[in-house]
Amino acid sequence: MQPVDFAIITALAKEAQAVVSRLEQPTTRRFEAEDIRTYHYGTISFQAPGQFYRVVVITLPNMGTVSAANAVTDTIARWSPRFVLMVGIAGGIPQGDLDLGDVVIADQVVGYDYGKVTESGIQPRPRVYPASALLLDRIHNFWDNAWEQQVNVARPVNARRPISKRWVGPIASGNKVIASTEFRNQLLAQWPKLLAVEMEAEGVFGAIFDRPHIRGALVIRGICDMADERKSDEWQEYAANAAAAFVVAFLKSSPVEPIDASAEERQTEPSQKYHITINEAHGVVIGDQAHIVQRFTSEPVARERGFEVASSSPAQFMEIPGKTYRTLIGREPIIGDIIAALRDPGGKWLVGIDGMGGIGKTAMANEVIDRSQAEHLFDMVVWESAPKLERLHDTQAIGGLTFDTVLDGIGRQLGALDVPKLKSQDKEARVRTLLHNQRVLVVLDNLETAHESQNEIARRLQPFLNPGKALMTSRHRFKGDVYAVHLSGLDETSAIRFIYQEAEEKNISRIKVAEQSEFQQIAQSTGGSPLALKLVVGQLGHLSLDTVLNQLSKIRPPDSDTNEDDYLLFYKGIFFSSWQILSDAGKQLLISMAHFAPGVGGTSEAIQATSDLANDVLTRSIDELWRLSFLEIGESPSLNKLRYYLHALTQNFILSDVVQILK
Amino acid sequence: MHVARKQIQQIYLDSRHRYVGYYLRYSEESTHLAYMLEQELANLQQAFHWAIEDNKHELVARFWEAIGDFFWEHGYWQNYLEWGETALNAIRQLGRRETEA
Repeated sequence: MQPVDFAIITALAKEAQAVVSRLEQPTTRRFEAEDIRTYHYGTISFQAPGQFYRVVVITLPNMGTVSAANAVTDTIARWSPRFVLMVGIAGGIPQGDLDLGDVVIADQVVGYDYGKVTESGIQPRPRVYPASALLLDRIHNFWDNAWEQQVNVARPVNARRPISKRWVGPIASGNKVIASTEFRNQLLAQWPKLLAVEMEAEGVFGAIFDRPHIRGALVIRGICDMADERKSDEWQEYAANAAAAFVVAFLKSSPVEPIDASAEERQTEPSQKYHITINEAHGVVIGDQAHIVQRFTSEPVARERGFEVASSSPAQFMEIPGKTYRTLIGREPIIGDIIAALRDPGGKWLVGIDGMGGIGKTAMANEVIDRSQAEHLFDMVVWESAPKLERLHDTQAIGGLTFDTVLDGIGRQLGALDVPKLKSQDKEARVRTLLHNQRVLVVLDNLETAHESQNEIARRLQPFLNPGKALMTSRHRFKGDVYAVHLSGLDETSAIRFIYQEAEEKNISRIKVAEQSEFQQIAQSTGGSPLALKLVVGQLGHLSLDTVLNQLSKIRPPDSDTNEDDYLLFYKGIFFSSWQILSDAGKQLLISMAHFAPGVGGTSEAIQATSDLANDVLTRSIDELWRLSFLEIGESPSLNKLRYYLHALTQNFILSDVVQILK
Repeated sequence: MHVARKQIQQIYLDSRHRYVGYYLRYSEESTHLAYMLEQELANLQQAFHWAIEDNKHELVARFWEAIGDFFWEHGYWQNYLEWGETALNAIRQLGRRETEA
């Protein structure tokens, strides 16, 4: 097994989930013959191209120091981490304005459980473990506060401050849930600078104490209560998320050199390598004790992540589009509902997400797939997407989605290549068998452009699904026996968080001087649409806030009842403002890119050939379009190259309003 | 935007021509590499349609030559039937043109 840079230990599932959701290429690994753990393996990349940390995350079966020590011992044996991080929630000790939601980094861990029993009572003999001096040095030199904006769950309303802070100081650790001011004060009397109390760090430090190859450990905890009689769970999710956001932001700052993968690989015995096969149905998958636990999007990516790839079978790649977001902001409750519906064996077989274009339906489907895979809800995922391109002429009718082609796609992606050639009855019987033999999640994206009624496709598909389920997206509402979720714009708080994230990614400084009321105005004027918010933030790289707000005030924001024509008009209003900012070369590139399939786009090679722009001009123009959010950038699922593509609505604007060729 | 309308449409048509040419070359160079074709299927489909739309019969026939086997072997039966029929018509048109010439 290839060593990892960091092992992240968490005590609760919500803490693990907050970290795992931020990993790139997360995979779930189990070794049931050897230990009971579930390991979430993934990477965290940082700014230098191609550089990343290998990370493994585990959660404990029970709280407490013994459980933590056992888990760390297993993790060390399996993954040989260089550093161990304990990440999660803790009770806070009132110090200065330390508050709920703040993040505490332990410079030392005090094991307070130890003592000497005497006739006059127990004399405390605490053990003290220093944090890794190296990591602590990096923490002291990590000044970026952007992590606070990466917290992607709602902040409870009873906060004293609107944002979280970070603190560095001692943390007490022991096997007690503390909900007592008196006990808290006893600890404080011994350790006046104490910032937090928790239940696992002492076990973590105990387990790594005599492991010379481990370079150190660090504890990072979000404050969820104040360890007194008012202790409740209200802040737990936020605090867990804050700790995870901080840790990932810290690692993204590349605090230490990553393990030299090639050197480590040379030292690894071939027999110890994890075996991957290229499966006809799944692209590159990891086989683990006869059940498939995860996919990589491509063989090159799998190799890059340090896995041996068998080349015995022909590759066919899953048709799941790449992610276009870092974290989904403001969607946790809906994602939770959808996952619960997919998890429920007695629930509906069909789950439908509807909402206007640009609202984030495909992103949500992508996120749901990741979460459901983390929970092993399904053995396989099949993704069928109806073409998003507006119909230009009759010949475009080729390739549209129907119930029959849905069955073809399911068969093809499950490796049954003969399915499309079968007659209707035989085809249905074959697909029914395929779907009944395994838990398959069938994802049907963009059903509003299907050739047949989306509700009719759903109705006919339903009897095929048990034990699997279907997840569908459409601009139109679902009817019938469907667990239907309507996706509307982000609420004001989430929209503001989204604006911050987008501005940070695109280095748009005007946002930093904006006032709360101006943020609120942007959020209201865009109806909380993520696509519209991105476009507006992009405009702020060129135009003053007043100008952008003035332009927005002339456009009627969409609401949940807005019909398709109206929201197309709304987007066009925003697109037009962005179009006017573009350079001539940027316009030329954008027009050229309207030929590419939306959401698929092309590689830089294809775009250069199509646009006929010189290399340096192309590079500048791509950057310009990306900053204005006309263009998305993602990784090619199987070619291991970057892809550049337009949203379907952007393409619609170019074809209908700029080139004016749409009928 | 209105002033530059003709120029915009010219950029659009020129780039469409190059787009079709690029993906035709791509399909011919990747004809035995299923994952390469699969990766770009949506664009190949777009380019194929533009070749039809522009009555580029020779390009339609070449697309079919490059991709037909892939459709047959990898479960894209509907595409196989639809592209095949379109390509056959294109080849007929080519033959007619040659006969007329």
